[in-house]
Amino acid sequence: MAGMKTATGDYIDSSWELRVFIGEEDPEAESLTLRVTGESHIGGVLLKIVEEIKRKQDWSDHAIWWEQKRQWLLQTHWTLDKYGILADARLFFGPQHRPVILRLPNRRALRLRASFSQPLFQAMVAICRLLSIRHPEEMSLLRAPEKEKKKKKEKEPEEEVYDLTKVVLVGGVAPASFRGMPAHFSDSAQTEACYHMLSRPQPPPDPLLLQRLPRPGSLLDKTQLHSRWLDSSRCLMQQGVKAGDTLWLRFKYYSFFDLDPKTDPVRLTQLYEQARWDLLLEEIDCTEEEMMVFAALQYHINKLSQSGEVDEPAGTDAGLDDLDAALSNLEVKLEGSAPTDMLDSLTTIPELKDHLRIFRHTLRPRKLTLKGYRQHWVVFKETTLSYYKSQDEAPGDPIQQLNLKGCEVVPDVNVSGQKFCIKLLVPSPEGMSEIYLRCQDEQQYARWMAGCRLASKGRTMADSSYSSEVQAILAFLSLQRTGGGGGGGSGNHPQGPDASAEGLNPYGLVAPRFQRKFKAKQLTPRILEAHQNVAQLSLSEAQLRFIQAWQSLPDFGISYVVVRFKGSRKDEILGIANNRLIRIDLSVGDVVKTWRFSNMRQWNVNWDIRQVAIEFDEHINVAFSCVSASCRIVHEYIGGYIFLSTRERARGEELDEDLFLQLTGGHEAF
Amino acid sequence: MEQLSDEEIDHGAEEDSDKEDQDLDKMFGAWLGELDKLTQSLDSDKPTEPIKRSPLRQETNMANFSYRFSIYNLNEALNQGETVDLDALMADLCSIEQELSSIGAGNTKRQITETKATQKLPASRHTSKHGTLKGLSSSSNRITKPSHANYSLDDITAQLEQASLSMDEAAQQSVLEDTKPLVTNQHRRTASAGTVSDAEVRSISNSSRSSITSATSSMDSLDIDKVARPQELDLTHQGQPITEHAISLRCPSKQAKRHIDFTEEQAELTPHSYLDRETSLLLRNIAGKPSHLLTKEEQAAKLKAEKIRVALEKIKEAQVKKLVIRVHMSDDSSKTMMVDERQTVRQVLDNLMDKSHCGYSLDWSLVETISELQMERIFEDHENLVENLLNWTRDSQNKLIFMERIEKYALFKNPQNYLLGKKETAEMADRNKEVLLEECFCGSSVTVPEIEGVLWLKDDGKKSWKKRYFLLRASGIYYVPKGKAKVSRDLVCFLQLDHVNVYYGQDYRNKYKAPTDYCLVLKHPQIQKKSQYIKYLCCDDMRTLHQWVNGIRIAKYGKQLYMNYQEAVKRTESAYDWTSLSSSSIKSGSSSSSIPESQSNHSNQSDSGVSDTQPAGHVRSQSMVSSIFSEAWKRGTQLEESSK
Repeated sequence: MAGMKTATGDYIDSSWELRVFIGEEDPEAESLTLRVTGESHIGGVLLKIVEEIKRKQDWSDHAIWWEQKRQWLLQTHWTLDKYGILADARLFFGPQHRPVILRLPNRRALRLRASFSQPLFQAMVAICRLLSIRHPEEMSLLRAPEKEKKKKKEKEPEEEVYDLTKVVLVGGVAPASFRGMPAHFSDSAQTEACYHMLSRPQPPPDPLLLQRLPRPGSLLDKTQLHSRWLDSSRCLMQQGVKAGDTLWLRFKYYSFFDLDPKTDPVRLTQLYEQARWDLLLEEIDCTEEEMMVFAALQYHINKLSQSGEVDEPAGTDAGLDDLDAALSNLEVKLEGSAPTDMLDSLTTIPELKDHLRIFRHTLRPRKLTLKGYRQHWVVFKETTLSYYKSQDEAPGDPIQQLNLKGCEVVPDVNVSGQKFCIKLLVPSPEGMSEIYLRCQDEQQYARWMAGCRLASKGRTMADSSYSSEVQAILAFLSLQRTGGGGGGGSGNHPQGPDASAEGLNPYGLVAPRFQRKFKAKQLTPRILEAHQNVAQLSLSEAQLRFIQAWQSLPDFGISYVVVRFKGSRKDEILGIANNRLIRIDLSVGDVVKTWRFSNMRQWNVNWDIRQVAIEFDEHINVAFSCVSASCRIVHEYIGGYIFLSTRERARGEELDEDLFLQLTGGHEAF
Repeated sequence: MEQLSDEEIDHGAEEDSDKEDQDLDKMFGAWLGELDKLTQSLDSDKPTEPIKRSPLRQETNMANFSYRFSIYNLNEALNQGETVDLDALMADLCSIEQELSSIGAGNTKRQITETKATQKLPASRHTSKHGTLKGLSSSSNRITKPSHANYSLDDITAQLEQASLSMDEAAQQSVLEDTKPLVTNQHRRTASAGTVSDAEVRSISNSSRSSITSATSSMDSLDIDKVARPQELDLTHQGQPITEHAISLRCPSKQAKRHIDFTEEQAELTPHSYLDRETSLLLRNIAGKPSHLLTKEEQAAKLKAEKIRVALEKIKEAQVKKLVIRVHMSDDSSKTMMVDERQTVRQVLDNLMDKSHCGYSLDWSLVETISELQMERIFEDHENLVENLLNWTRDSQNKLIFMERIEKYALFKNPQNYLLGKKETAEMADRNKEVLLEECFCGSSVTVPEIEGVLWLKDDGKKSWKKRYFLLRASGIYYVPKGKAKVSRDLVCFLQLDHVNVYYGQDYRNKYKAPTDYCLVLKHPQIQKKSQYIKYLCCDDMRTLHQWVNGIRIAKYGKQLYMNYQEAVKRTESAYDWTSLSSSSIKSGSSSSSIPESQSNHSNQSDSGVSDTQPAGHVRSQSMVSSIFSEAWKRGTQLEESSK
């Protein structure tokens, strides 16, 4: 071994002293001095270090980081000479996996150990495996934005940081499922809570917080985010990330492969959360109508996840096979366990009869006044609504009879004003008949409203969903009472079983600009209106619907970068989507030109002048230099989308990492 | 080749030229008029107890149901010929009939008559909705050629007639004597209108009457005893033709049926149902056991369960409504055909292409024209035809036209012109077209093309048009309000697409003084007359019009549209293979009874199933040909099935 010396203490071999710091990059760290030669292998050096430390510990995760070259010495059979290490090298003997705090798409913080030595792409695979998210190639990490100094002075509430640093995954094997969650989460109550945080949607944010959070004011602001992506082909250490740093975990590529609620609860939920925050923070624009649908879905999702209905409810409509139904009924009957009143309720289709005030007009809608309402005796049976002058005349001809099948039902409710109206738009060959039913109280309203909704879908009140529909309506009314009602119903006791609806503020469901535009009591009825179309969805269906609606927004999935096109004198925006590049005017925001990836022949990056050159079919050449982000980010985005488009269902989970790095890397050569 | 069952009756109509058709229409009109009168008289005749009224309405459906049901069974019995135990069937019928007439209290009798009247109404209402379509109560058509089926058939009809006659007598004694003649009158009219032979008339009216018996009693929810028995009758009908274990099937199916209706009470358990208790216990015990371990009884129980399932399927099948429609061809001729309420436009198109020898092409479409509003729409392949046609009013001049329309699938033939939001048409390599379609329709959500631009909007109630900048989004059509920028947050929603269909306007330059003739209309499918709820838009040129219409179709139907196209391509391709063999072979294949047997749930086949009533000799003469092609046919249909 190295370190032979003469009696006088002079070294006679060509050995020299190598100083190695123990621990992470810390100038104060304790150091060891080893005697090595240029021929020493890294493996041997590692062994020596461990011997010198004389501490019993699992060192298997430790490796040497060469600070000046920003490089891990991972090839244990390489010699120091081969690496080119001399005595002046600053080497750190430290763990390869270090804790980082990930800010998840749902804005919660999670501490876990990430690989600091592998390329980020591989580190992401491991992280996603730990979080049980499939398709890690779609996700990546961003640097957290630098906090402004002023804000630090403000007292920020301590937030809970979930901890997964102690969880170790056995390599190779796909995590088995245990108690409805991946086995590695079921070890302790803590990790279990962590899994719930990951797989269940978070409650709506505080509207005040929403207003405080930074929102992009212009297209230029939207480019900021994309300058912070980390590089997939290099490791975290190389990119200057330190242990304990906060990083953002986000879906980077807007091409979600094979989204399956059954196998992907975490992925689905986090994607939903990312979409939700995108909308709430106005990263993506939508219209008022669309916002109401998003709000209704959020409300619905929150309600379901709070009430613990995480599991899919059995299909309500077509779920039971006729035979099963018949046989099980047979069974029930033979055992005599069914109370007869239950049978009665099955045989008779319930009907509603009551005095209601009705207002109708078949002509142009005018401003409504209370005067227009007349008291009528109304009978609602099956899907038909008939009304009479009075109860005595009920057996006779009704004034009007409307079949509600296919009609539009619109709530017109103001709880604080004690106004409970149902607007019905009933189609007929002559056009639509508009009719308003005014109910006396919430209970009556909920019953009639539920009936109308079912009837519009061609179902009667005998339908099994009737009572749940009534409950849902009551719950929503209570939301309005507490949220936007302005204290009008403070004396009322809460309706409905789930208290989560109580105190829910509709402002937490919409982007701040709608908070400014509408009063809460204006907002609630509109959310209520949109909610009725989604009220029957299960949790994962609702999340999927939310994601799909997000995906069908025109501006969905475009990552913006400021670039300067060759030959142009002004900055412009390049939008990168999963199938195309878009040239956008910076000041106006208009699309100037679109190029599709399917027409792309090749693209090249000139790393020296930071220019990307792309050749399309028919000899169209485009070149631009990147301004707001490094051209590496643009290059990786383009290569990443090309990579994602090569995925096929048949290949399954397998990831072609080489291909990815080939498509997105390349700059290593320079 | 025109031996496809549903053509039978159509022949009558078609051969007798258009003039006859008009007569028929008139006759229908007259009939409808009378029906209306009848309804009115029924309505005006207020019963003494008001409570009785509401059950009546509800029962109408039930009556209809049983009506179709029993005819279906009878029909099937006829088709199956020898194996039918008609005597047993008759015995059951008679016992029911006796029971019913013995019940004969004034109240129930009166109900019977009422029911009879109302029972006819639903069928006639359907009829009334179709100006040019003639809604015949479908099932009556199905018994058009009973004479070949069985020697004992005549006996049955005779007995049936007796049964119904005695029913009639019972009814005539009832309070509602005035409505009665009308009812019988209609029966005769139906018969003559249908231009069928005497024997057929008899069978039609008989069968409908026999079903009235069952319907009436099953409606009477007050009398449990009566409820159970007619059902028993129905199930015997269906049970016997299917299997030879008529007796064993009777009990379980009866039981099953009862449970569907929920009209029976526990106390009513008969010795048969006691047997069932054992069966059901057995069934529970054997759940999960491999079949070779089962005891005899257990196997029997299993068999029973299977039979119940079959019975339930039959019940479902029998509930299907059918309509006779007239389809206008592009050469001004027209064809009458029967459609099943479950049939999609695709299925009807396939039928039509088969029948009209027009060759197979993607572009064949069913076009709905609403003449009063001067607009038309190509039905989408996945739509339910009957549902759409039921939106027409009774006196409607609307037409259903079978014609080739290139715009139906132009979107998929040249997607680059529709999906890229470009102003000019362009060529594209086929490979890229596929990529584009894949991208647009096969992702986790459908990409709605970004279509925007200035369109003219017609003012409500006026013949003036205003320019507006419209944008299409997945959530609906929006416009940019005056003085605002084109950003999402400021857009105003013009229309959401859930409740409207998109139509092409015809000649609106004349009708509404539109700036151009390239107009599109958005309206609820049920609206048939001028209304403020109809929105009219006018484009500058044809290209813009098609872009908008197709964009709206994508936003509205999404992936379904692409699936329709792929399905259509598949059909035409397979059809092309067929025609290259021999066009006659297909026909013989479809009319030969041997093959489609196994596909009773394939609604396309349900019509040709009736061709079983063809004389056996005829089938035999074709059997040579058909056996040659039956293999190929099977393969073809399997392909179809698997592609579903």
